[in-house]
Formats: sequence, C-alpha cells, structure tokens
Amino acid sequence: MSAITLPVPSARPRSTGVACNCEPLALDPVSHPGESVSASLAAASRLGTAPLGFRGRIRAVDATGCGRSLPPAELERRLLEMGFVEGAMVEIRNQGLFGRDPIAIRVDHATVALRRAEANAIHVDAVDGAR
Amino acid sequence: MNELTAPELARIPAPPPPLPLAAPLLHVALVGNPNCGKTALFNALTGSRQKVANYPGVTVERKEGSFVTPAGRPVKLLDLPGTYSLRARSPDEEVTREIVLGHLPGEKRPELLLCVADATNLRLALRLVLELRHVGRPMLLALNMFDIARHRGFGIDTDRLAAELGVPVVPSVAVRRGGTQALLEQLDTLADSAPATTPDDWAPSGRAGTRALQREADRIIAACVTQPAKPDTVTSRLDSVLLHPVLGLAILLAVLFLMFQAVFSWAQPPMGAIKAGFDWLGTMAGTLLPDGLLRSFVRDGLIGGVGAVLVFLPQILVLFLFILVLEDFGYMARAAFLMDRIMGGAGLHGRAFIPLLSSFACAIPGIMATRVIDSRRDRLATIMVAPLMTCSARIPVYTLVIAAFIPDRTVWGVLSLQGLVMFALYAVGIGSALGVSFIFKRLVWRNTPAEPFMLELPDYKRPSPRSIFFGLTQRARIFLRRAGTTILAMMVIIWFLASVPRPPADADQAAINYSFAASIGHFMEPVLAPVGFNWQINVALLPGMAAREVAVASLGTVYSIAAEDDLGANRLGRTLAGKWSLATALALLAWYVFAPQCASTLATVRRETGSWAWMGLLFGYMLALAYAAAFVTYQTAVALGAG
Repeated sequence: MSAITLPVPSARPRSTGVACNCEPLALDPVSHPGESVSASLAAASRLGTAPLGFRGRIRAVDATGCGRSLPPAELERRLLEMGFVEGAMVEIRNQGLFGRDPIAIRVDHATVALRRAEANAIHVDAVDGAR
Repeated sequence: MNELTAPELARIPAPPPPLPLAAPLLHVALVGNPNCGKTALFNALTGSRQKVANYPGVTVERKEGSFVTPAGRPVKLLDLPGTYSLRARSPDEEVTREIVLGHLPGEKRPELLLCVADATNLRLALRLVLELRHVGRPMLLALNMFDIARHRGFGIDTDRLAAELGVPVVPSVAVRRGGTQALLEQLDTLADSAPATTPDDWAPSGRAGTRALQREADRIIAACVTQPAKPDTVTSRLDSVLLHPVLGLAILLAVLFLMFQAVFSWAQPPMGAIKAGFDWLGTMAGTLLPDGLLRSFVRDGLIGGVGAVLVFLPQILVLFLFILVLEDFGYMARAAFLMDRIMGGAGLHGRAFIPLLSSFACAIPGIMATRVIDSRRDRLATIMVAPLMTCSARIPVYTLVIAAFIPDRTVWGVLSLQGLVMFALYAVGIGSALGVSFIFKRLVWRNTPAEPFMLELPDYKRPSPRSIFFGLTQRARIFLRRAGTTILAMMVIIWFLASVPRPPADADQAAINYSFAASIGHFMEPVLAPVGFNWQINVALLPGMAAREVAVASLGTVYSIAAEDDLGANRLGRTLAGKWSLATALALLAWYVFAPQCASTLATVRRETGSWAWMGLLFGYMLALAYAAAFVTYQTAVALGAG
C-alpha cells in the first residue's frame, strides 16, 4: 500500500526532496477560513462518505450538522487538534467490519481513527490517483 | 548506523567545567504528545530512581524521578501526562496544564520544560511547542526516536529548527545506552546560561488560533525537514492485516486466547515454587514455635495468609507482560479500533477496551486507566462494569472450587471440563458487563449523546525490553505493597476472630466453634442459607471483601483451625469436597462472578468518580446480582438433585 506523498514542489532554498504535505499558506486553496465556511463547499465531498483507499486534500473543517456527539464548534476544535487542518493530505487506510466504521485516516505521518459521522466534518477534494 | 555520533554530537558544545559546590536542585517537567516516547525517555534518564504517587486531591498518577547531569547538577524530573494541547479535555491533561502554568497548589512550578517529540511525527508536537512558548518557561526540545527517523530517511535540520522555534533542540534515543548524552549536556548548558524566558501570556486558543498554530508548525516542518524519498510501509502493511475487518478481529481473539493460556500455564512453575516456599516456612514455624496461640498466629495467620495471596504474583506479572508489550508495540490502540463498533452496541466507547482488558488483571489499574476516556458519561459506564471482568483475585477461588468439585475429564475428546467451566465463568462476567452497560445506557444516559471516537494509532515499533521491565517492576511493587498492608492486616483480623475467645477447658468441639468467627457466621446464616452457604463460607465472605483472594486463605484458616491439624493448602480442596454439596460449590462460583467489590476497588471508584453515590450504586447492584445468581444456581442445582 502506498503512503501519502505529494508531487515535489519547485525547489526552495532550505527544503529539498518531498515537501511536507501541508504547503505554505499562500498555496492553500482556503487560506484563511473564518469560523463559518462558505457555500463553495458544495463541490467538495465529505470524508465520512469516502470509500476505503480514498486520497484527498482537506478543503475545510466545518462540523455544522455533523455527529450528534458534541457541539459543532467543539468537534471542529478537536479535529483541528488532531492535525486535520485545511491543506493537509488525508488517506483512508482501514475501516471496521460493521457499517465500514470506524475508519483509520493517515494524515501526514500519523494515523488517526475516527467514526464516519465525525469524519463528515472534514470536507475534502479528491487527489489524482484516488480509487 | 543509528548511533548518535557524527554531526549531531559535533554540534553540542563542550560540557561546562564541573560545578565547584553542590549545585541547586533543578526542577524539570517532561511534556509531550501521547505516544511520543516520553515514558521511555523518563525511564532512560531516571533509571530506577522513580517515585509513583498521586497528585493530592485528584487521582492522576504522579511520576517523579531524579538524576544528576554530567556537570554534577541534581535534577528532579516530573513526567507529566501526555497531551495534544494545553486546552485540557481530561483530568490528566488538566494536571499537565495546571503544573506548566504553576497553578496546582502544593506543586512547584517547573524551572525548565523538557518537550519530547517523536522525530518521525513532528506536526502535532511542534504545535504543542509553539503553544508552550507562551507559558514563560525556558524550554528544551528533545527529538526522540531520532535513530528511527534517520533510518527511515528523514533529514532534520536541528539548527534551523532551533532557530525557527527559538528553543534549543537535541536529538535523543531513549532506548539506547548513551542516547540521552546530548540531552544531559544541553541541560547543563541551559541551567548555566539562565536562558531567556518567553512571554507568560498563555490563553486557550480558539479554532482560528489552533489553525494558525498548526499552519506555523507545518511551515517550520516544510523548512527544516526533508521527507524520506521512499515512504515507510511497515505500519501500513501490518495494518492491512491487523486492522483487516475480518482477519483483524480473528487475530485479536487469538491474541486474547494466547494471553489467557499464558496466564494459566506459564505462571504455574513459579507459582508452585512460591507455594512450596511458604509451605516450608509454615512447617519451620510449626517446629520452632511452641504449641499455642503464637504458633497458630505465625503459621496460620501470617505465613498462611500472605502466602495464599503472594502465589498470584506470577499470574499478574504474565498478564501485565502481555498488556505492556502490546501497548509498547502499538497494538492496544488498534484493539480499541477493532472493538469500537462492537462495544458501542453495548453503550461502551472503543477506548474502554484497554481499561476493561486491564481489569482482567485487577479492576484497580483498569478503573484508573479509564482516565484516557474524555467524556464523563463513557468513563462512568466503563468504571461501573470494569469490576465484572474476572480479575486475577478471583482465580484462586475459582481454581480451588473447580479442582475440588468438577471432575477432571475431557469432553468432546480435546477440551478439559475444568477448563470449560473456568471459561464459562469468564464468559458470564463479560456477558453481564455488556448487559449492565446496555441497561445503564438505556436508563441513566438516555438523553446524553455518545462521545466521538478519536484516537491516534501510533506507528508500530519494536517493544523496548527496558520499558517493559520498568513497567513490570512497578506493577510488582504495587501488588507486594498491597499484600504487605491491606491483605496482611485482614488476615490478622480473620485469624483473631477465628481464634478468640479460646475454647473452655472442657470443650468437646473444635476450637473455632467457640470463636467470634463462628458467631458472625451463624448470625449471617438465615440470610445466606437460601443460597446454600454454610457458616464457614459466611466467615470467609467478609474478608473476601477486603480482597477477594483472601477468601481462600480464610477458608483455609477456618477449616485448618477447625480440623486442629496441619492442613496443607493443597488439602483444602479435598476437605471442601467432603463438606460441601455440589450445589453449594456452584453457588459460590456464581456468587464470585459478581462478588461484591473488594474494599480497595470501592475506594478507587469513590476516588475516580468523586462520588459516594456511584460507589454505592456499584456495590449495591453487584451485591444484588451476586445474591440472585447464587440463589438461582443453588436452587436449580438442588432441584436437579445436586444438593
């Protein structure tokens, strides 16, 4: 199984080889998301509905209406604290037997387990090579 | 190839000259994400000079150790609970924040923060470092597992990293001798130079603040870290098997099966040795001391009582060996992943799996391990059912009764009937835990939503024998301390009740029939007769609440005193077989599946829940279940002709 790697960006002075999955601010598709996210998300899909093996980049983290477990603002903060921020690359590596839940998501060099209901707060754009 | 030699060492300044006088004590705190190798580093730095206690008022484990730097400076090192941010979500993380900010009463604010980061996984660690820059303490960042990172092809520019963060950075390898040398020397340098302090203006960051910090951390990583050309695939290949929806569950079951096999078979030889040792001590005491109260006290009370409990040390160590190895390997979080949906059906959180598994050794570490569960509801649900897991203290009761009453024959050609009964008792415990938790979910927490499942699955790594050794010695020490205090005290009381008052000179019955124990046992008879217990069992039930394994020792005391001869522990079973009916024996087994909690477990529940009500509820429901189960078992067995 292949890990997450990005195409090498144009070489910069101090960074050689493959850059970190999260690129500098200026290159991010959503550079300064506010506390609410605009309707442009319609084009992105939700990570919680993605199939096993999906690879993509986080467009936005917005928990409005996701999961019945926590207030949306709190769920969003916890996802951010686990490293799910805009611009990060994610890949669904594994899933459970019942209801394909929970899912194991590779974010950069870490793996985080989530239930699909909460993963729906993560809006993603598929990246080439995704199944 | 993984030694910390060439470039890293060259960058470290020469050690300062030895301090002329006794240097002042330096207080250092270890801070880092969960799974970053913090505990391994703590063990490497402090060796055996560790003290484990609790923080006053809260039940968070406080681990402190000490060591001396190369320049001779004494250091007190505090291992703070792992956290992703100072915005604490669990009691453990709160302790970390309060100490770092100097707000915990009675706890000295650390003079230096030693941040630990897994060098192969820097994103979340660097965000924590950036957050810690706002607490106004000098800091040092240790890039732990640096050898693994280099082996995988990461190139980390530590000079640039130190410049970007404004914090000295040293590589470290906690699990290798000499792997902390650079770190120790840097500590001396920092302590001598009175490093510049950062602003003391920490405030909980909102969503925007967390995003900004993470972006800054990601920018620094992009600038200082060269990613490996070829990604490491060990973890993903292992996960494709171990987290496989079907195969993964099968492997988990196999691991659990192997674990229980080991607990029962590997532990036998040392258990036999311990038992033989205590038997020999008892015989020695019998020949050396004159006949009378003192001989009875030393032989039956002290040696017999403590020996009956110490015999279980090997089983507890084997169980913890498995738990520690699996934890260190990175499998425990995977087990939680695999079990999340299954346990969720019963209203339990996936994270409850680890505490419940520990409860098979003892409910106390299990209940304490529930601290990893953030939500109070999920934590309480786990605490309420953890004591239903068959703890190792119940094994002696089961073993004794099964060996005495269940015929030693095979069924279906391969399975031992005794083993099957043992397995059934475990299964009833697990089944009732799920059932009780389901009822709690329906009755108590009908309207409380479930907590999200959010758990980091650390990359697999080879377990470190050193860390496992430290963990095991710690567990052994806790168990021995308990055996030397609570259990010993209870055994002395039991012996006293069973021996005093002495029988009159013209006594025509066994001495114990004149003792306080007999009075108490007879007093309880009307209540316990319907479940088939005689007064000797009633006497043993009381100390069994102090610690369940004591019940066996008490039965030994009661019957050996009653028989007034040298009744070896191995002969107790035969004695019981002659005195109890099968129905009584089965009822006792059923009782002990639910056996009202031992006093230390109740005390732990009281502390962890902070409420007498939860403790009372636990005690009440388990007592009711135990009585009901024993009643049904006894009456059914009698009706079937086993009375």
